[in-house]
Amino acid sequence: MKHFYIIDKNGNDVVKNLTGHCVDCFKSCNSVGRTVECSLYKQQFRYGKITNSKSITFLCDTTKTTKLFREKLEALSYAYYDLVIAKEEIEQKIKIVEQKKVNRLIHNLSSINAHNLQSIYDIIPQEQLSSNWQNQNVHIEKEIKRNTDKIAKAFLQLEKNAIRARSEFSVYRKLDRDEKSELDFKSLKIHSVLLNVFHTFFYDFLNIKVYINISEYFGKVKIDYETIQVALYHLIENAAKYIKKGSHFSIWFEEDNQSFVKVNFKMTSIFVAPDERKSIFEEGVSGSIAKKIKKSGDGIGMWRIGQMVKLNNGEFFASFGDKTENINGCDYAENTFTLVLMKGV
Amino acid sequence: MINLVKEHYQWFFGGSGVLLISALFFLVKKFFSTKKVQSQMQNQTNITNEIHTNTHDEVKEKNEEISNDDNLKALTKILFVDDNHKEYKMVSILKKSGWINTKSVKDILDLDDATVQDADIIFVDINGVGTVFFKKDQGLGLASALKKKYPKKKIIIYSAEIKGDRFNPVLREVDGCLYKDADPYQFTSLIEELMIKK
Repeated sequence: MKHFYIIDKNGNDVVKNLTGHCVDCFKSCNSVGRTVECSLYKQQFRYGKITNSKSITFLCDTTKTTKLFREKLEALSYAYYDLVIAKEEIEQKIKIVEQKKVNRLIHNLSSINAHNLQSIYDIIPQEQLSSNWQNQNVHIEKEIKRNTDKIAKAFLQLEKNAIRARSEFSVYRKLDRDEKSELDFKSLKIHSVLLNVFHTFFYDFLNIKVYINISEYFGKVKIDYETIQVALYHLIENAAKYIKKGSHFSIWFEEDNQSFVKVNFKMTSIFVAPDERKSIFEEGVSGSIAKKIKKSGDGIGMWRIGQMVKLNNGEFFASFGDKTENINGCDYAENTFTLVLMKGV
Repeated sequence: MINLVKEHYQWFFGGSGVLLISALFFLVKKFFSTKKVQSQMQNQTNITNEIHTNTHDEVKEKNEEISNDDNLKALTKILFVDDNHKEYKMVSILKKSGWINTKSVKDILDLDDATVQDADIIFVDINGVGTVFFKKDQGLGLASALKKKYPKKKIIIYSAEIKGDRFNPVLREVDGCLYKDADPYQFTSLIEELMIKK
């Protein structure tokens, strides 16, 4: 069978391998086995079409006799019933897989949007905005002047949420929707790339009295900005969540031979037991202490960092320390997380 | 107090008087300014983070870098073509960070327009622009025409959605692509890269 086409009564394709040239033959065909000189293959072909209440079946090949060709065409038209079942099954499976990705995107974006709206209405309540609509601007200006400190915090929160939302889009655009998506590799100053995300968390670290030390580094790394931002976002968000109050957080850069740059994040954060040190890098797995202190999320963070760094031809690993202290029932240890990225020029 | 001043004004304006008043004034000023600094310190948190903002060892080299950087920012003429250019704030953001010669237009109806001729870099939105001459391809058609007419100008395509047009050959003709929600940092690093290569 060279070319065939089965279409259902609603005009939906069931199977099709027609070329652009074949489309005209399909349209003009009104026999069940006539020979025709094919201008595409420059030889004689036999083509035919069967129409019944369920479908239209078209076939074109080099079968010598009309009788044999008709038998093939009829067999193909009966295959419609089996093909439809198989097609529906496959479609259903794809729908489930794709729906899961879209649902995750909608879930994450909805919660980010909810936080944004809450931040806005926390500054000026919705009922005040709707009741003072005639002097809306004046009222907003007055409230902003009255709450400058709160506004500054909300500003950072909104910025952080916007970066988080974009990272969700990036994951969907570059990974979920099309696994063969092309990344946009560029040589960028990793210090600036890091600070673009990190600065939105300064206030969070300040609130828990964490001392931050980010070392100087001028070097460039060859990365896809969007996906590395996703990795950095999750890493810093996790650090802000699990670091010990009043501790030190050091970030420094190392050039490893000529090809790689290591970005190290050293902190006193929750202890990870030896038997969990591999599994917390897997999707949907949270550490037992993270669960115990009720700060664990969906277990996405560490897995996502690894996934994004791998897309950038890099590596993500951690060096977990032994228990150093216990504060309010929570064990802490000195942990270092390292991103290994390709050196840029 | 006024009588005291009247009685001793000669002394006040004598050499030692001026010296004493100056010294008092200095002490009072110093006292108040110290207090101000202290109160500022009290308001601040006692955590001093060390975030090195990449200060360079060699001051001279750094000054040269800054002046080159400023020159680049001042001399580069950037044009955005966006049907929603009044709402899209990237022009304002770029201007604030020193790229003072950044402009935006709703559409380009004449490739010989002075604004187009002047520009070094042109950012073209995929949707909603070039609709008059490039009905089907819109921004992609415009970008392609601009690149053909001005091969030395840097043409960058930007859009909320590039994916659908991923296989369009125009994407290979132009000098870059960016998502609309890209960071200002991505815009500026691409501009710098293209202008330095030039």
